[in-house]
Amino acid sequence: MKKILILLFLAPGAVLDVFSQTRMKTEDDYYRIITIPVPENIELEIGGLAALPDGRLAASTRRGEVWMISNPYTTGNRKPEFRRFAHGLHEPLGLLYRGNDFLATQRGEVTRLADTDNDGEADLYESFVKWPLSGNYHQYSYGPVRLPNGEMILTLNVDWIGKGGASLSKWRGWMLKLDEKGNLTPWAAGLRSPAGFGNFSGDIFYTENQGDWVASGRLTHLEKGDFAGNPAGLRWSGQPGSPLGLKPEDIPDSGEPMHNVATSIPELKLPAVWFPHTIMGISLSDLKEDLTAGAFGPFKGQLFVGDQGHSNIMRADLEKVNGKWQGACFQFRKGFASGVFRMEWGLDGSMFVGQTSRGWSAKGLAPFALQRLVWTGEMPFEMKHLRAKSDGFEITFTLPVDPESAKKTESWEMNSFTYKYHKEYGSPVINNEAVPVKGVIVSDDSLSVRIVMDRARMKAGYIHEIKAEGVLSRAGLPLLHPEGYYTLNEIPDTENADPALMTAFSGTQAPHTHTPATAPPIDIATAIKRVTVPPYGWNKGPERVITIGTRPGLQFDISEIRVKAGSKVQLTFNNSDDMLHNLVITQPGAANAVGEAALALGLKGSEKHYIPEMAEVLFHSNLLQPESSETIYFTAPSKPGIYQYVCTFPGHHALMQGRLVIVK
Amino acid sequence: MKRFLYSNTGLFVLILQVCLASLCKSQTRIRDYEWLPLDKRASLGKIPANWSFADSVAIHPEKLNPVKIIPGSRILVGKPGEAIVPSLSGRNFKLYLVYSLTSGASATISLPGGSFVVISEGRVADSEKVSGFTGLAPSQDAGKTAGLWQTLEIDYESDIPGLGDKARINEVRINGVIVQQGQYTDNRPSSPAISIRVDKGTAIFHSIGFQKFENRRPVLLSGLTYKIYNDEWDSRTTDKLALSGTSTELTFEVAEGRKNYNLVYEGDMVVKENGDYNFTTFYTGAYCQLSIDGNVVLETDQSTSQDAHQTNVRIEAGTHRIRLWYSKLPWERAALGLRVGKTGVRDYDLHALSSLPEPPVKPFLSARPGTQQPEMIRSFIRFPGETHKRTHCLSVGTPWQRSFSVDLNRGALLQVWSGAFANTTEMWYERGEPQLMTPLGQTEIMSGRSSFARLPAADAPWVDSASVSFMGYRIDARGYPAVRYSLGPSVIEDAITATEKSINRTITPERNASSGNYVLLAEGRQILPLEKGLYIVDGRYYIKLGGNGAPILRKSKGKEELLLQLAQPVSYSIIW
Repeated sequence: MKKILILLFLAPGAVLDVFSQTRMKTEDDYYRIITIPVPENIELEIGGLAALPDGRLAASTRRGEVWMISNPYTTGNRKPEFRRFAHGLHEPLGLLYRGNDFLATQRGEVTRLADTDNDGEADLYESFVKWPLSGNYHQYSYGPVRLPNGEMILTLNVDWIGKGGASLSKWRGWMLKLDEKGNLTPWAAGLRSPAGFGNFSGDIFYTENQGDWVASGRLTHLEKGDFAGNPAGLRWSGQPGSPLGLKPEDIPDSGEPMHNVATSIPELKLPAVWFPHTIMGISLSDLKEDLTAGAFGPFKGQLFVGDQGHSNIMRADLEKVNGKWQGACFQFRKGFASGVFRMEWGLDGSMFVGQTSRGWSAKGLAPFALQRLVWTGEMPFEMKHLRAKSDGFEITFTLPVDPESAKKTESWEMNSFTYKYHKEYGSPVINNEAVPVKGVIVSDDSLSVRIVMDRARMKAGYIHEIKAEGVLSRAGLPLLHPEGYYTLNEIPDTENADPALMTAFSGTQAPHTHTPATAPPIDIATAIKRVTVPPYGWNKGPERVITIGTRPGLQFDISEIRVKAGSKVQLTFNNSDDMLHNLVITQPGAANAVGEAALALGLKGSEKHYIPEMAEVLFHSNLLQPESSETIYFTAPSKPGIYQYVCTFPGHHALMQGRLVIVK
Repeated sequence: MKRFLYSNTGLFVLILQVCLASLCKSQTRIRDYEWLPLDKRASLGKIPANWSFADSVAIHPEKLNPVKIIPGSRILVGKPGEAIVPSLSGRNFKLYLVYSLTSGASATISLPGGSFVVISEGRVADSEKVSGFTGLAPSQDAGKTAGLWQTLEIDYESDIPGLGDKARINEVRINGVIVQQGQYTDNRPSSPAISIRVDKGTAIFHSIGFQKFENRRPVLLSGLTYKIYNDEWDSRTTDKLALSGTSTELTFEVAEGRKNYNLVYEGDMVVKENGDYNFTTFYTGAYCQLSIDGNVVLETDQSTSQDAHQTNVRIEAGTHRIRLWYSKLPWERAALGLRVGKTGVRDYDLHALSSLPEPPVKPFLSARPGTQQPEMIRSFIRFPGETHKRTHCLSVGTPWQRSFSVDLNRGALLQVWSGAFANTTEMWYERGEPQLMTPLGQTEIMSGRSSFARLPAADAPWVDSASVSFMGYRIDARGYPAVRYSLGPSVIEDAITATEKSINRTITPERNASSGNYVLLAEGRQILPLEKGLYIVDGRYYIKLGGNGAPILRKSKGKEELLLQLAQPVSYSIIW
C-alpha cells in the first residue's frame, strides 16, 4: 500500500520532482541496506542462508555452525535472537530448508539436519549423500538448490594446485542433480568455482569466477551435457553417468575468443552474460531470480547476481535469441559490509545478503556480515531491459526519458570487445573498438529507445558496452547506473529500424577515440615509468635492491621502505597471491587518487595494466599474474618525503598500500 | 588373577613409540640423550633405603597400592622418603625421564638452583597441582593414568649471560606436550644437584636421559663457493650457470635480488668431534637438498621458513665436503637457513643471520567444548605415517577434557587425547588451506583402521573399510554423537562418550546383527592382559571391557589385535 501511494505522488508531481532535484540521488534512495546486528561472540561467516516460512532465518557458517535467527527483519525492538541450531560441519556453503529439516552441504557430504525433539537444536545429522575429497582446500562444495520441479542441484569446485585448477577427485568441476533418495547424477561439466546457481525462468544457470580458462566472471545457462569452459573436470567424462564424452585434451589452448572455439566444440557453452572483470565485479557469487512480484522493485523476472570481492549486487536481464539465452548486466547496489556470498528472499520481498571476506578480501572491510536489502518504494531511473535487435539494441527504461536528452549524439557511447579463451588466469580485454551509433528512435511513450547501428558492427561473441550518460528521465534525473553490457552470442533476425522514425546522428558519433587493439597499449610517457632492464649508465649496478611481495588479504608484505633520495633502486615485486596485482609508486598522498583513476579506466584498464596516465604516478610494474614476478629499475625521487606504493587493480587500492620513505 | 609384568623387551618398543609420537608435534630428539646406566648403581650416588631396583613392576591402573615388584636391576623404584641424587650436574642441560606412577602418586624433580618440576598421577592430593607444576601451573594436564609409561623432558639453563641470579626453564614437556615454556626462576647455587624425591605412592623410572650443553661449535664451514643457475624453480636442474663466486658466509643474498634461481653452495665442513649431527634446513622456496661427502642427506620440496626439516647424520671428525642446493620460488621472498647440533650442543646457525628473515606470524585459533556440552568439528586430519589426509573426520571435545577423532569414511578411531581440544588455525585462518584440525593435548594415536569388519572366520585377517559406510549421527541428550554405519547388510551404532580418564565406546548392532561382525578393540605391538577384561596396549593405554564378551587376542602381520564379536552390544573403555 505504502509504495503505491508514493508512486501516485511521484508520477504527476512536479512539486516533488523539484524537491528531488535539490539533491543527487544515490542507490540508497531506492534500495536500503539494513544491517542485522550479530552478537560479538559469533563468527557469522555466511556460507548458506535459508529463509523460513515462520519468519526465522537460518545461516550456515564457514566455521561449521548453523544459526537460527529469530526476528531477522529487525522489527519491534530491532533485536534479532541468535540460537545455534547445529555445529561441527565442515565449511557448509549451502543450506536448504525442506519444511521439517535442512540439507547442508559440507565439503564432502550433504547432511540432513533435523530437530526431532523440538528443543531448537538439531539432534540428527544424517549423511544424505557423500563423495570423495582430495584434501585440497579449493574443493568447495555448494548447494543444494531446489528447482521448481522439485529436483535439487549442487556444484563442486575444482582443486587449486598452483598455476591452475585440477579435478583431483570425482565430479569436481561438475554440476550434479540430487534426488530425494540422495542419488547424484552428473548434469554438466567445465565449472571452476561455481558458488552461485539456481533457477531462472525454468532453466538452470550458474555464475563462474575468473581464473584459469575463465577470462572474466560470467553467467551460464547449463543444460544437460553442457561443458562450461574449464577443462579440469572433463577427466571424469565418459565415467558411468556422465552425459559428456569430451576430454580435457580436446580443448585447445589457443587464446582465440570462446565464441570461435565453440564453433568446433559443440559442447562448449557460451556464457549468457559476461560480467566484465573489475567493471562489474571480480568474483561472482550467488544468483537469485526476482520472484517478488514487484515487492523488490521494477525488475520482476530478472536476475540478481552477487559479488564477493566488490561487495556489490548486479542485475542481469536475459532474453532468448535463436533459442539461446543471452543478455545484459548492470550495476545494481554497492556498499555491502563484507563480501557478498549468499542472497535469499525474505518473506516480504526484501533480500537477505549473507557475507564473508575471509581468505578473499572484499571492498566491504568487515570480516563477515548479515544485511538485508529493501526497496524503498521509490522508482530508480534505470535501464530496465537491454535487448538485441538485428541492427542495434533497444533499451526499456523504468521511467520515461526526456526525449531531447536521448536524441543527443553525445548522450551515447558504445564499444565492443571480447576475451581470450586460454589456460592462463583471466584475460585482457581484446579487440576493443568504439562502435558508432547511427541514430536513435525514442518510443512514443518515451519508455524505450532503439539504438541503431551498422549491422556489420554487431559482432557475435562480443560484449557490447552501452553508455547512456547523457540520457535523463522526464524529471531530469540521470540514470542511476548508465552502463550496460550485452553479451551478443546470437544476432537476432528482427526488422530493421525504420529510418523515417530515426533521429540520425552525424558521422562524427563516437568521438571517443580508442586505442586499436594492435597498437602498443602503453604510450611513451607511461613506459618510462616502468624500466625492466638495468638502465644505461648503471655500471655499478643498483645502489639499493628491494624485494616486495604480497600477502593474502590485499597486503604488501612490507608496509614501509626507506630509500635514500636520488639512489638507484632495483625493485622486485613478487605476486605470490592468487589474484592479479601491480605495484605503483606515487607522489606523497596520491595513492588513493591514483587508485580511483585506475578504476575509472574502465574497459581500458586491463590493457593499461591499471596504470592511469597522471603525473602522480612515478614508477610502476605491470599487472602481474598470480605467482609471477617483475623487476623494475628507477632513480628514487630527489626530494625527501613519504611517497606511497599501491596496487591499482580495481578494488585493491584502499587496502593495498605502503609507504616509500625517501630520506636524505 | 593375572597381572602384567613389565619386561624390558617390551619397553624398548615402548620408548620408541613415545619418541615417535612426540616427534610428530615437537622436536624431541631422543637419540641425543646419554642414558644413565641404571644397573650401575654408582651413577645414582648413594641409594637411600626407600629406593630399590627391579626387573619388572606391575601396577594396577585403579587400585591404590597393589604394586608387585620382581627385584632386579633395570628399573628404579622409588617410595616416599629420601631423594635420590643421580650423578648429574650442569647449568645448561636437558633431562629426560621415562616413568610410571601408581594411582595418586607424585614425585618432585629438583633442579640445580632450586627450581623443580612435579609429576603426579591425577592431581596431587589436597592440591590442584598436576604434572608439570613448577611453582607455576602447567598450561594443561598432559599426564597419564597409573601404570602407563610417561615421559618428562626438562630443558634448563642457568648460565645465561648477564642473568647470573636467574635460571630459565626453557621448556617442560609431559608426554611430548609442552606445558611450560620460558619460565625465569631464581638461581640459588646452594643446591647444585639434580634429585628425584617421591612424595606419595610409588614412582618407577625406566630411563634417565641427560645431555649437558656446552657453548662449542664442533662444525664450521670454510672455503665456500657458490653457483647461481637460471634454471626454472620447478626444473630440479642446474644447467644454466649465471654466476659463481666465493663467499665467507652461507646466505642467499649472493643472488643479489634475483627472483628466480637455483643457488648451490659447496665448501668444506670442518668437523671437530665424531658424532651424530642434527642438520636442520629452513627455507622459503621450491626445493632444498643437503649433501655431505656426495651423499644426499636431506631433500625436501616446497616449503616456507616457518617449517623446519631435519635429518641426523653420523660424521667422523675431519674435513668433509658439504653441498647445499636451494631453489627459490619466483613469487616468494627468499629465506635460507642451515643449523647444526648434536648431543651436548644446542643447534646453532651455519648461515648468516640475514639469510633467514623472521617468518610472518599467524594468529592462533582454537575450539573448546562447553562446560556441559561436547563440541564437534568436522575436518581433514593428517594421520601419522600417511601421505593423504583423512578427509571425512569428526572430532569431539568433551567437558571432561578427553577428546577423540573418528574417520567417518572408515568407521575408524584415529586418536584420543586429553587436555585442550582443537587447534583450528589451519582451518579458520584466512583460507585455511590445509583444512587440518590438530589436537592440542596429549594424544594417543589409535590404529586408524576400521573398527568394524565382517570376517569370514575369527582368524581371518582384519579388513579395512571394505564394507563400512557412514550413515550419520544422532546427538544424545548430553550432546554426544552416536554414529551409525552400515556394515554390509548390518547397521550398527557407535556411541563414544568420555569421563575424566577415559573414552567409552558402546557399539550396538541395530539391524541384521551377524556373528561374522567383529569389533577391533585395539591394535599394537604388544597387547597384554592384566586381569579379566583389562588389557594394556604398548604400555600406552588400557582397554577395559564393559561386558562379558570373550575377546580374541591374536597376532596378525607382526602386530597384535584385540577383537570382539559383535553379535551383542559391545562396550569398552580406552583409559590413559
